Amino acid sequence: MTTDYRSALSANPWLTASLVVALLLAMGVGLPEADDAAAETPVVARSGGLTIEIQEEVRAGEGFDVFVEGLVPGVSMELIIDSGYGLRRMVTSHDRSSATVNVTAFAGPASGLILITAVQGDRVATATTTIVPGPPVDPIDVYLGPRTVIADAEHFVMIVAVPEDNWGNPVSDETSVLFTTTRPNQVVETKQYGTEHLLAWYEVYSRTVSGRTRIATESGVAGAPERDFLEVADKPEPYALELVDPLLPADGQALITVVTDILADGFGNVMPDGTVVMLDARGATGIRRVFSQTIDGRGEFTLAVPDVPGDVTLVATASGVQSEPLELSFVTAVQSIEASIELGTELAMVHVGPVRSVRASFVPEGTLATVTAADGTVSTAPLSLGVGTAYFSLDADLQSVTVEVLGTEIRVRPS
Amino acid sequence: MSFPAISVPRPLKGRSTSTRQAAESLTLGATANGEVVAAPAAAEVADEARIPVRLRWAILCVWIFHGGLLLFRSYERTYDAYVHIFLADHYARDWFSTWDQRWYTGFTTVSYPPGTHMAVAALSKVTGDLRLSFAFLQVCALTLLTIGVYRFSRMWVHKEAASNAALLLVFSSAIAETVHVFGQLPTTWALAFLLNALPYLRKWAFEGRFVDLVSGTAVLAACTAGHHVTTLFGSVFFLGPVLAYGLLAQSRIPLADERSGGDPKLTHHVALGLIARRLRRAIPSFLRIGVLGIAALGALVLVVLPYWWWSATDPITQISIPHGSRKNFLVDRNIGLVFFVVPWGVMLLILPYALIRSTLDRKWPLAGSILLLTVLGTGGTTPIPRMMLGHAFDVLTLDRFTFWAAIQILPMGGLFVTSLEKGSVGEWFRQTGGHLLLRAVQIGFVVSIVMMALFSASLAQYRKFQPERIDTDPIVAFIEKDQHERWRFLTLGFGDQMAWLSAQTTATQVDGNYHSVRRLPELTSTSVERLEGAKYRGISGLGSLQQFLEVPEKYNLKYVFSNDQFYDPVLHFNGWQRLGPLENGIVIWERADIPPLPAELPTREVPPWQRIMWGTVPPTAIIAACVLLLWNLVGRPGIKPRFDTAAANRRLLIGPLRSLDRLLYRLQSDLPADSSTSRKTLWNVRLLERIRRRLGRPISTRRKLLRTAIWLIALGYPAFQFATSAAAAPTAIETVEQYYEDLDFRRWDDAYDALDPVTKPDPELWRLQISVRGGLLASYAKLDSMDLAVIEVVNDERVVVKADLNYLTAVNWYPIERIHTMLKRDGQWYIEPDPTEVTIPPDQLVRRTDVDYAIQGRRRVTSGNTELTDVQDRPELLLRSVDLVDVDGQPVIVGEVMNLDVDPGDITITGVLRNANDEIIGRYNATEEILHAIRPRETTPFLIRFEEVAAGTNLDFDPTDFTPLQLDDEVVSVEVYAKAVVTTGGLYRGLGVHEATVTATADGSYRLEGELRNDGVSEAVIPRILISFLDDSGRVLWVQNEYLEYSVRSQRRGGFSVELEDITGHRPSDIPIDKYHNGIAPSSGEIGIPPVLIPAPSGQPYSSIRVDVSTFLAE
Repeated sequence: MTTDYRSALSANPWLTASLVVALLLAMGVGLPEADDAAAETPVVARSGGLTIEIQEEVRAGEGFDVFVEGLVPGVSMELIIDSGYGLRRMVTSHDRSSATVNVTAFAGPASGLILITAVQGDRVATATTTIVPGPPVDPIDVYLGPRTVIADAEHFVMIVAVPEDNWGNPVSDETSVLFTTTRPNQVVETKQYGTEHLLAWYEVYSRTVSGRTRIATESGVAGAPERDFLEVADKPEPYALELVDPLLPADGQALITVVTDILADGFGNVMPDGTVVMLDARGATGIRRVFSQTIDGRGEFTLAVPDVPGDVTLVATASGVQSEPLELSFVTAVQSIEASIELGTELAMVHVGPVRSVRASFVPEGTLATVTAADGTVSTAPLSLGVGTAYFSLDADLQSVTVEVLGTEIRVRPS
Repeated sequence: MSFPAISVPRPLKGRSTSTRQAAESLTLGATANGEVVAAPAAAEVADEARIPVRLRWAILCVWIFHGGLLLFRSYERTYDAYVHIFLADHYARDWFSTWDQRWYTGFTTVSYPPGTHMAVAALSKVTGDLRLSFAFLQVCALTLLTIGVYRFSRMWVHKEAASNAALLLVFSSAIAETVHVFGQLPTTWALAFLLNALPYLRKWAFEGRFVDLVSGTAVLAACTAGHHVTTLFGSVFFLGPVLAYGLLAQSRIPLADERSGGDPKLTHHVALGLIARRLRRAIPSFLRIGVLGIAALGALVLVVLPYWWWSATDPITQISIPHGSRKNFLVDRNIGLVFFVVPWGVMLLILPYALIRSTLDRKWPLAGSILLLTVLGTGGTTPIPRMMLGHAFDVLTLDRFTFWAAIQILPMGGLFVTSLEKGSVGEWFRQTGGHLLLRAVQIGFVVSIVMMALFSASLAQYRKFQPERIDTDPIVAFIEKDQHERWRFLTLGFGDQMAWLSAQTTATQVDGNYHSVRRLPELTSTSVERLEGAKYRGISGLGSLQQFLEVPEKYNLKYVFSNDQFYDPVLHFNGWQRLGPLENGIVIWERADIPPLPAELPTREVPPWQRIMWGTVPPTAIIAACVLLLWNLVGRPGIKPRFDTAAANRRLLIGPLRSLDRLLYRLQSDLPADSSTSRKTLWNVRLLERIRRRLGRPISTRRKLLRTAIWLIALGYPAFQFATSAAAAPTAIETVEQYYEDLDFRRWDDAYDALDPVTKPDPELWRLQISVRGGLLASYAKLDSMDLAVIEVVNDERVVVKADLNYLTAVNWYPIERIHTMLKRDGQWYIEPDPTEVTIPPDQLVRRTDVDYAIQGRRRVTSGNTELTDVQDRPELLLRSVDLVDVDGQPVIVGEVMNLDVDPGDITITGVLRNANDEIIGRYNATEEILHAIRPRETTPFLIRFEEVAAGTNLDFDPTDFTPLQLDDEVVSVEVYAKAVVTTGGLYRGLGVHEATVTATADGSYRLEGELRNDGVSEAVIPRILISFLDDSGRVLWVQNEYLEYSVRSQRRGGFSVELEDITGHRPSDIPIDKYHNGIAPSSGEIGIPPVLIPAPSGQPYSSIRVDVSTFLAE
């Protein structure tokens, strides 16, 4: 059957007028734009009458059908599915002007807007759909940092959870994530946050008890490995030094041990092991600085006693906080010094020793003996040979010498 | 098997001119205008084609002697073998690649002809072993070289002498050294092809057969594929004399259309005609030599065209690398031994004979070439090489000239052997001392040749050029583990084995073993050949090395494999952590916090057409050469054996050449015939005959005795001199000098013998006392120089000697002054022993508690990569103070950083200078003036100097002098970055400062003096003190770093005395400084600072001094 349109229009002016009005209305109001149409329906028309029809949402892990119309039978069509994670291409051939193509489920992450493009020859049509992620599954990725924080209730660490569904898709916004924090003193706190922009995060403020704080993370039935951080002591409160050993005589060799109080901050938290503590000594020891570190909250120092009697002031410093000074008074280590001078023709031989300590033994091997002649000539030699003696060869015209050992002096004249 | 006939000149002994001409015609085949003068008889040709017995022996000896040594991996101790193996590995991995990332942050391989490397690579596909392939190809090259020497010699001497020359080559000390000490494959390979190409090229020039040109050019192309320099210089020194000699011979052969009677005597009347006549005779040869030149140039250029292209378009400005061959061998005799005496070997004694004999034989082109090569090979001994070579003198390795000279003399050497065996030289010895002497000399000659070859081949055994063999498998395993190849590495103390290590991995390193292709300015601007052997270049070498160790992140340099503890101090004090030794004893050092290399490294491959050319042309040239050599060897099947040279010459004389020929003919046509019969025998022949007669003349017993006496004196006097010079008693100065040399080389017994026998302790005690005194000088230093002087003469038997010693260490050089009292006993000077330490520690057993750390992942054992959650947090750092100081116009950043964390940190402080455009104009790290590893809540001062890429024109720059940054722009802003990673090493704090005082010296300076007491349980091997100069508020104004020369044992003390730096000229800058750190000061208050240690002397710009102490601990 055929219709002569020209004859029909000329025969029916109302019909002609109606068509003209409709045309003008269409031009004046305007046709809906393609994007608007797509927003309302998942169908988008493109060149040459090729159209795609697809459902608005697809659940992750499920396949979906794409209905394509306007195909030229017998000509292959390429379907391109762009998920943002990657492209998938399918080439099909149909003997009809429409076809339904089944897109199998994505094996990996693909959530979000999916752009589907059908191409046949130079004709193209596109449509979009959204893949909705599934519920979170094990394990939730959890990140925490820093992993040490000062236990002063002011510093905090941040924990971030990234839940994903079974296919690796980030879960939908506002998915609930539960953080359970167990403090060092076993106090348990729970916080629940919804995901936002793929993440759920939580600022975990320290409390005032040092130790390890552990955080569990859950979302629905999904769990995560535990994350933890250390709450550590702040700078110590004022502290004192203590002499552990009895005060030994100043023989220049013996060692004494000095310890600090337990270094703890204002909340009673003990300084962590390994924190540097230094000790300064002034006085009979000269200027000294030795280093140690805290173990069980204490810094322990070993000091050699001075080689001259006198007072010594000790001050420790930990995290910039100085201790109260510790005053020590060292007594002489020498009980007696024997010395003699033998005058020869060319040289005078000064024999020093034995030098006995207050404990009636020889002073330590290697202790220096200093002989000062009347003209100011100074000679130094170590007392050695296991008998606490030393020999000095001086000029023969010697009148007297001063012998000094460990701060004790005697005057000797030729016999 | 047979060789094609090689036409040669016969010996001229006792022949008339006409006979000589006939003999020469054998060589040349035909006269210039085509008339065949003579042709070799069939018997002669057959004899010529037969391989002489001695040549067969020579080839067998090559296989046994050199093959045996190579089978036992003699190349492992050589200089270059592993470099060539590495390059072979490159082609084995990717045949068409021209860029290798593994060295120098990438280099192009078109910088070296690939022939030998590709051959090794191809063969390794069959053998499965690069080293075995290298050794096999070396034997092949030597075999071909032996044949080549025979063929080359046949162009100069008769068959018997040429065979002897081949035998001499096998036992040539030059070859032995080149193969078994230098590990050169391209040199032997290229020379083998060159010498085999020469007969063909010569035949082409004077006989005109095109197939000879093709054969010669193809073989020459194979030579270029192996080593282009051999082609270049070989054309001058080998081909040049051959052609020159041939042209001269050609010009003496009369043409058929010339007037008979020979050439007239040269006078000014006939000079023009004679010249014309001589020129005319050689016109075809000149023309062919021109063609030959083009062909040779083509073989030189086309085969390695990408190389020439690269040379022209990408020149690298490389500071000249010092080479021993450029030194004065009389001053540095060891170098002279290696680069002149050893390669020459016994041939040096034959040199005068060779020069005289070849001159008398009218082979002066050969004599001239030998003489020129000899002179060039003397390096800096005479000024002549520098004058001749000009700028090239500082680029070339001149030992190559000596090597070529030692090869080029072989024909005459073979002639000498013949003469010694059955000629006039042997006759002279027979006349002098009878058969006994003759046999003794002959045997002595052979023995000395063989012994010299053995000595040369095993020179590396006597004089260690390379460290002991390193098992690289554990290193390769480490590199391949846990993605360690994502960072660059550096080897120290590996010698050339570093190339073998690189050949086994795709990991990259900043150093390399092929300095010509370096691109980093830090390397190209210094004279240091390799970082891995930096200490052998003294201060300049260590300075170059430091530039890489101080800012390793710039090069993604994370690992150092050290085979030499000498470098331990510089590694430790620049923040490198010792991970421990591998099972092969190599110690791994790691620098924390180094970014990995990007996944894709930039490459600079040459264009595709060049890559295709590079991968196809050189191997094709080699294959073509081998095929042609074999084809020639089997008698050139497929072409006519006879060739009409006359016809070929006629074909050449066309057009202008024809006119020239006619012109020359007319010019010489009026020459009178020479009717003199007395001149038929040439002067040289007469002289030679006269010498021969004189040598072979019987002599009286008296003359025999006289000759023997002269020989004994000549040989015995040097030995006598040597013996008597060694017997003289050393002076006091010499005794001290020898003492320190013995100490430096750990010759303990000899050093002990220098001590006063009356007062010295027993040897065991002395060794014990020496052994307990470790430290920088005792264990990590090399005596660089010493200056000795007698400062007091007490009496004839007691003097005082001052020794100013200069020690080289990896971190600094140490000038040390020592005063020694010398005592003379029984005519011998002795050193009074130093007093020994008599103090004893208080405790027998020391107990010290400490906190140890271990970094570990919290996963089960896995070969997977480190997980993010297993990576330690960065310790929190706080830049407490940072200031910019102007020091003599140079910006220096000083400051103080504190570790706020509870974890120990390995810290890196980086300073950045920016100009007004916010562009970075300077970037450097705090290097030695910082404690790199600090404990929790510990503070360290730091100082950042901005160092320029060192070196330039000064080849021996001093790293302690520092090369300041050249700032073209004004510094507008400064940034300081502090970052750290958790560490477990370098945290020893057992050292404490005792009795610290500041004293004024007479010259107005101040010294910090005191003692370090080691209260820990480990020996502080290299104690270091950091001196901070502080202002009133405790801000750091300056940091001074000092190393103590001796170690401090546990529970003992060691003194120090350090001159404080004068900082009065330092000017604080008000340029804003941005600080970047991850620590936040506690809210509870200001961070406390360590208290001052010592108030400053009055009048100083600082108010107090703080001292921090750390140490390097040995394993």
